[in-house]
Parts: sequence; structure tokens; C-alpha cells
Amino acid sequence: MNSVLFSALAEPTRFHIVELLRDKPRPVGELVDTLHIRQPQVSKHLKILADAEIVEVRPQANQRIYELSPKKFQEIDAWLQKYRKLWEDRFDVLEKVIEREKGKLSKKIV
Amino acid sequence: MENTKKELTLERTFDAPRDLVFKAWTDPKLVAHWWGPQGFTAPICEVDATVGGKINIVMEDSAGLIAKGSKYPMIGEFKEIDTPGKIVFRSEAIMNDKPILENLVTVTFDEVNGKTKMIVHIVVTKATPEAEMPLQGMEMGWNQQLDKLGEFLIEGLGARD
Repeated sequence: MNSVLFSALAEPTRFHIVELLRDKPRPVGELVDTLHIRQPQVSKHLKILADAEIVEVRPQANQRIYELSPKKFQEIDAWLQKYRKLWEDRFDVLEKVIEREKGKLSKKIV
Repeated sequence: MENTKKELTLERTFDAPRDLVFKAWTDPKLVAHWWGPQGFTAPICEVDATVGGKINIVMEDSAGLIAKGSKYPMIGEFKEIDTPGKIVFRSEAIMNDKPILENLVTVTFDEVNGKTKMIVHIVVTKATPEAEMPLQGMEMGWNQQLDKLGEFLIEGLGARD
């Protein structure tokens, strides 16, 4: 993950575009209609997303179709997996702490 | 990833009473024993488990997994406390005085057949590129030292009482 990816996604309109492209690839016109923003602005956001390798563009007939590039999302997924591991490891220790406290409790009862 | 919502749900069942599992999350003395990654200690661990109560934990890399003696502060605030069934808190990991990772964490505790089922739902509300670095280092450290440190920590617990 790099800072380009973060700053590209940080902007709410661009994030919205990413959400829309998650459903399916779309031409610019469709994004303009849904977002209610003028085309030059949408194109500007799409360029930033493309530079960050978040979206890819492919020509189809006389249209340019935008779609998400899986690579960046795999990076985010990989990060989340690491984060999950951090919590799982933490809970391994929590489990030991609980076992130990349980031991103390049962001693008190006896 | 700023402003994007990334979520994790983790579940674990403990063979222990619900009050005890709840206490492990809300009693600072117990939190200090498990909150930090393995090999880390918590020289500061303040947990005020009341609605609006603050969390202030400073973790220290005692084993030198990333850099020996380096400190990782975390602050937060409890949003909801429903003893002993549920807690909700917000947390911010701080690096160089800036929040690098923000979470909203919901933990529920349910009694199931005499055991306690804990479900932890984490929403990453903000993550800056800097959040990658400690995670990377911790993972390396864990792979090398997980078993050793787990034992070390348990022995350490015994010695502290």
C-alpha cells in the first residue's frame, strides 16, 4: 500500500466512483448521470484513480469503459489479513490471561 | 484507504464465565496483560470503562520486535457499556503525534452452554500509509518469536502478581 492509493481513495467522490465500479464496469456517461457531477470533473477524478492504478480503462466501440483493477484491492485485503492476525494473536494471549484468572477464582472459592 | 470502511469480525469462545471475560476487557490491570502485541508491555494502561470514559494505553516494544524501547500510544473512548454483555469503543493508534489508525470496536459477550462466546467487530474508520509499518514489523516479529514470547508473557504475568 502506498500513499498515492490512500490519497486517491480519501476523496469522497472518488470513493463513490469506486463503489459504483464495484457493481460493474461503467462508461463515463453512466458515472456522470449517477453522480450528478459534470463530465470534466468526473474525468479528472477518473484520471487520478487510473494514475493510482485503482481503475483501468478499456475502449469498447466508441466508449471508454472504466473498471476496478483487482491488484490494489488485493493489497488492501492483504493488509486486512495482517490486521486480523494481529487481533487473533492478541486473543491468544487474552485466552491465557482468562485461564489464569479463572484459576485464581476457583482457588478463592475453595 | 482514508474514510473507507474496512471491517473485520472475529469470534472466540472461552471456557470461562461471562463476567470474567468482560472483566478482561474492562479492568486495566487485566487489559495491560494482553492488549499489546506479543513482546510488548504496557507501561501506561488506563481504561475507564464507563460511557464517555477514556482509554489511554502506551505499548512499549520491550522485546525489540520493531525497535527496542519504542512506544506506541493508543487513545480512545467508550461509547457504550452494557455490563457484562457488550462494549463499544473508538480507538486511535498514534504515531509521531498523529492518528495513523482509527477503529470502532464492538465486543459482545454471550453465555453459550456455560462458556462465553465473544464476538469482536472492528470497523477501520481510518488508516494512513504509516499504519502499514508497525503491522509489517509486528508480523515479522511474531513469525520469529511467537511461541517464545507467549511463554515469556505468561511467566511475566505470574511474576507481576
